[in-house]
Amino acid sequence: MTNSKHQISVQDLVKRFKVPIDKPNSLRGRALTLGKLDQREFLALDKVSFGIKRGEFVGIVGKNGSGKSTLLKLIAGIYQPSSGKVKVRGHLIPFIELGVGFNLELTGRENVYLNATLMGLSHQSIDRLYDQIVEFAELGDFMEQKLKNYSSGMQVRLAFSIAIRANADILLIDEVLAVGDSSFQQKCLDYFYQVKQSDTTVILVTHDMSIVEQFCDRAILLDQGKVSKVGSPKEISLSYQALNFGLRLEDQTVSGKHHLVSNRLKAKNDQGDEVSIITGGVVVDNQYCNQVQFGQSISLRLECLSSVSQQCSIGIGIYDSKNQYLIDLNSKHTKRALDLKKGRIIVDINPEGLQLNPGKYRIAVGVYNSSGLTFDYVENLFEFIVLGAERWGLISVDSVWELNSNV
Amino acid sequence: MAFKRHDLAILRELVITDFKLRYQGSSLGYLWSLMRPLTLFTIYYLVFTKFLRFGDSMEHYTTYLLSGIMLWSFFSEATVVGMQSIVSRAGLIRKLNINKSVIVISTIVSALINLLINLLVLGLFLWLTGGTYFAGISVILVPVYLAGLVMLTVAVAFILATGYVYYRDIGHLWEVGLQAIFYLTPFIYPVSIIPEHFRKVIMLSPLACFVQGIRELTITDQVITSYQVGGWTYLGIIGLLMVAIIGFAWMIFAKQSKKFAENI
Repeated sequence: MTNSKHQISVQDLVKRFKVPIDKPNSLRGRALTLGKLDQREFLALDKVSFGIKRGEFVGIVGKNGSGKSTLLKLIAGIYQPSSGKVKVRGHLIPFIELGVGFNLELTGRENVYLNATLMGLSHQSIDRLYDQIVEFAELGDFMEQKLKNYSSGMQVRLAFSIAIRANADILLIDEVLAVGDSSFQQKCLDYFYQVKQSDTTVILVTHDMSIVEQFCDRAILLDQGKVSKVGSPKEISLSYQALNFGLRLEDQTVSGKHHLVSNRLKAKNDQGDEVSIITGGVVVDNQYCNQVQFGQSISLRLECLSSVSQQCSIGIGIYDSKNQYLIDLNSKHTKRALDLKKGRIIVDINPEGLQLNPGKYRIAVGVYNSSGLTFDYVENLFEFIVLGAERWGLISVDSVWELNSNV
Repeated sequence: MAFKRHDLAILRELVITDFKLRYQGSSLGYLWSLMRPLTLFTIYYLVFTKFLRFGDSMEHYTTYLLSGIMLWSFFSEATVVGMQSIVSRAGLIRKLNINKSVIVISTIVSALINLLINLLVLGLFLWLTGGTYFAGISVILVPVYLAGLVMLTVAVAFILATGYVYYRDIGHLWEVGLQAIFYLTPFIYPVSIIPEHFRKVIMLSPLACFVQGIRELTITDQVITSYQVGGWTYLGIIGLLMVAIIGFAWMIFAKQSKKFAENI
């Protein structure tokens, strides 16, 4: 996994934090607990290994609390590993926060010197770069004023302007884009483009998949302190979305086991006959599955148990994550009643041309007899997600575009 | 914890920042760092020469007292600010892999610059009033004693700063400790007024050794030093104590400073 060509190599990296349940910040507190604190050990990173080559632009993604920032701080040497190794070759600068060491009581000029020194620039090079820094930050008239008189936008501009002058072989960037307006974000993107062209190695922690896909050569997905996947930005972006919708990657296929059906409204007809919904789901290659790619056709399957042969209708409601009722699929629309036989019945539904946009969906199912009585109704029979790049609107349709210039 | 070249640049920047911030917005500015010891001096002068009449037992007691207060101000300020330095720079430590010793040392350098300026003013005053004293060629030992004092201060600050990260009580403990050190070290009183058997104990302190050494070479040969009390044996013991304190400070700081980022 790691070899000598790597500029950064991380091997079996483990980081545990001891979190005291009630931290006694005093000797008395420690004396009272006889030195033994009630500590909960928290495993932030669990045997993480990977290597990064010179000049690579690598994204680290994962949900909040997955260990991204801890990993970055370990690579930067801010934290020490509990076990395992981090090897870094070359001069590394972490941008965990912009404007580290900024002091509101100092002038803009003084802060430039302080911050740039902390970023590893020598006094002479700051002298040399000073005019560029001020010009880029567009703060020419403000440099002799105290930082506390700056707007937050001005502070960020100054900090960013210093940060991009920092001369490093390796940059660690943590969510820098989370701050600032859109013109600032554009500047960040320009800067990323510029470092991508150079042979600077970059590790970028972000939630923004479009940036990962645009700039990264590779991406690493962290989940609960473990490397869940390393791969192309596209792959990782899809896996990350799957994670975000609350699904573990191992659960991508649901073996035909029965869901626990709750929230149901059940009834029998006058003769005591009944139909029960057992289970259901999205089916791919004849197997239950809880995720599909955008554009892939969606087939649904229901399994029911009927106590007698009879005619019924089935209604399926598709709801999006905001609980909007998107689509009503109903057997009545086919003008044909379904003839259920006694026993276990499998119903396959193929909604033709249905293209759901990427997101999470919920299925509600109702089974009714010919006179409209509800045999069984399940509010939340199953959920599934559609993976893919974000799209506007609720659903998508294929469309043909023609340009007619001679009208 | 090796000191790199760039660490010096960071040290310089931190010291400059500290100076700018300290006297900002005050109209007297730097004069305040002179005013404090001078005010203390005025009070002690009144009490110890007029009420308690310590000064009768030695010549140049005034200079003796003033230099004592300046050296004491350095030690107490540097250790208190040094103790808090790591915690007050938490923002830096959590975001950069900065050499932590630079942060502690920067506070001591600031205090040292203050001390040197104070001593310079004192020297100038003595020269103008014709009260200067020259102990001969051995005056070259003054920087050695001063270096000893600074090293002791750095070591104590390292230990306190490390402890303070984990237990904020150290702050209160040290306040009391400083009071004890202040009265058990001959900063304000001449050693001659202390009974012989107590003298043997208090002159074993490295702090007393450095303070008296500096005074003996610059004020009057009447100053009683550790050497005069215990000879080379005492100097040897004090040397060992220094090695032990510095060694312990370095060890504990080198080990713990790696974990500061996650414990502050």
